[in-house]
Amino acid sequence: MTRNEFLDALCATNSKLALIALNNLCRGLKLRLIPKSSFQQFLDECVAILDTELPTVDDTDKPEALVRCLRRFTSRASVMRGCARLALEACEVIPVITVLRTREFFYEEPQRTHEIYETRKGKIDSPEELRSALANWSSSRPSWHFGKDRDFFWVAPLGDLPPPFDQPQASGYVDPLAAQSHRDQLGLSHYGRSDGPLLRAIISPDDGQAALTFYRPTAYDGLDNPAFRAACDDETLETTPAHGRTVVLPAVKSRLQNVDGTREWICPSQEVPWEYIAFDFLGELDDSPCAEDERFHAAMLAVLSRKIPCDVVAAELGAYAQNA
Amino acid sequence: MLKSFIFLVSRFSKDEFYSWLGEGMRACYPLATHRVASTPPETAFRGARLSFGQRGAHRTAVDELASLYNNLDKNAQSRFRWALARLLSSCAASPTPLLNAALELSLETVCSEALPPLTEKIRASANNPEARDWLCLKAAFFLDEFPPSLSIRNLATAILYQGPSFPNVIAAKLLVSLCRSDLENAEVHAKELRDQLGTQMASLGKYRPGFLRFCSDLQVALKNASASTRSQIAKDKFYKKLVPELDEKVRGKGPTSDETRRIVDEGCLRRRPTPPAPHQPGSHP
Repeated sequence: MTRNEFLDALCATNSKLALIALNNLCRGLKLRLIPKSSFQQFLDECVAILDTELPTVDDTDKPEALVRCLRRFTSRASVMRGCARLALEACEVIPVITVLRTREFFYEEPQRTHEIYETRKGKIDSPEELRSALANWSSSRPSWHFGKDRDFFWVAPLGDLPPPFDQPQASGYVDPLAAQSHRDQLGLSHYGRSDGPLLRAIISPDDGQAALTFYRPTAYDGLDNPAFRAACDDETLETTPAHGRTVVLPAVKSRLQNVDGTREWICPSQEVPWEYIAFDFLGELDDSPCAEDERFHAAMLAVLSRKIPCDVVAAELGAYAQNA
Repeated sequence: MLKSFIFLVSRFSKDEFYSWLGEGMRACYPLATHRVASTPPETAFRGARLSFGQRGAHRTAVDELASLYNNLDKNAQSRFRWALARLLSSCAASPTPLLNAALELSLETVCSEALPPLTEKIRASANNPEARDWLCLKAAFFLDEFPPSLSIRNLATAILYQGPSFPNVIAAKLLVSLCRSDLENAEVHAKELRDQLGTQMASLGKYRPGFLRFCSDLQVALKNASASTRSQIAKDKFYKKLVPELDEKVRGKGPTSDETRRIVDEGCLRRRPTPPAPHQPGSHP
């Protein structure tokens, strides 16, 4: 299989998830956020995997296998592929937030779960329980390891969120819209009711202490998120900033012209001392993830197609796939 | 998950399952001190490149394997559990990422075949308090999530009677599990656990929902106990306060906040020396 055969076969699947990812790759290449050589290397890896794996796959599974091959690799992809752009604008000290599931937060802490007579997948149901848990944790370890399981984590500036979420929460108070608002503003399409309560960590490094390294995310980082957009509509080759921008999920669903959310970056995983972190309890979401909703995929594709129509994506990417 | 992949795996024999699972798990969780998978599951497990790692990079090998298990037919599930139990047996009795992942997977798949090797590890770690504590903490989830059985009873009694003391924080789950799986000896176990349970109540008392859940679980577990067992347990004021229904004359609906505090205080302040264990290692029913 050649690179172009792979791209053609992928487009022929008519998978919206694949088209979203391809559209983002195309936009990233046009804006030189992704070097052509890295894209070709990415395609070669896909082709190599398919050459090995496809012979064992049934014909009926082949379209799905092609899509999966495209979307399989996201872990700190930009950084590892050498195409990350260090986000100098974020080197100033600004409080950033990252959203976590409470389940993630207490991963591998059986002692804690037993102490409150909880089940293994127990939940933190209130700000009070979060406070007690934090008191317990901070006494037993000096820091929290962000992005431990994924090699990286996503952050957004606290100040970019709409009020009242642009400030730390008042003690003990949980805005009933907090979880929904964060999910929508940050484009967290994969979060839903089944994820349980969410938390946000506000990280405020002090004068370089525990400073995070910020990178602009690229299409590689968002391959598995149908709500990822490689660049805003108004970005040009001359005006690409050193940050990504989330899409506002309800704006996408409503097919609004402006879907821009907050600035966002990825940071390589890092231990951050407790004194630079404040946790807020966000509560639970009340619906399913839109990452699994075909109507959302169609709406997102419509947003992306405003810049690059679907029918030209394959041809444009085909040109980038050529060596010469 | 691709159907072709599920079909491929479902045809594995027991030994093939063991070698596939062991190879993949060892690649994911090398014998290191941290739990982060050094190789992503889609690469670590043969044939899984287009099936694992598709639902977000946060999915661990355990998540992926549990999801695969749920897609297998009954016979293949049985071979999978056998292989998992063998993998568990082959792990050293120490808190390694590999053993942690194997235990997590056993919990996710409700692998009852994992109970004997886990029990064996708890017995074998008698001279290694750190490893034993860690194993006991993990084992408490098995006591909590698995249905009562002889294997569960063996696990619980190994924690309680064989080897040095266990972490106080699992006393509540241990008691509930023993009452569920060995009701005839509930009184003996309750007596044995009295002091460590009292210590646990000191912290549990701060979390009233957890405390009420425990009281309710204990009450259900003791529901079918004989009248003599119930009355023997009810003789201890500590237990009578925890489960008022033990004493037929008391008609309360459960402990109040003040009573909770008193129970906690009693548990902490009126500790008695631990009575000698009534059962020798291996002799317990």
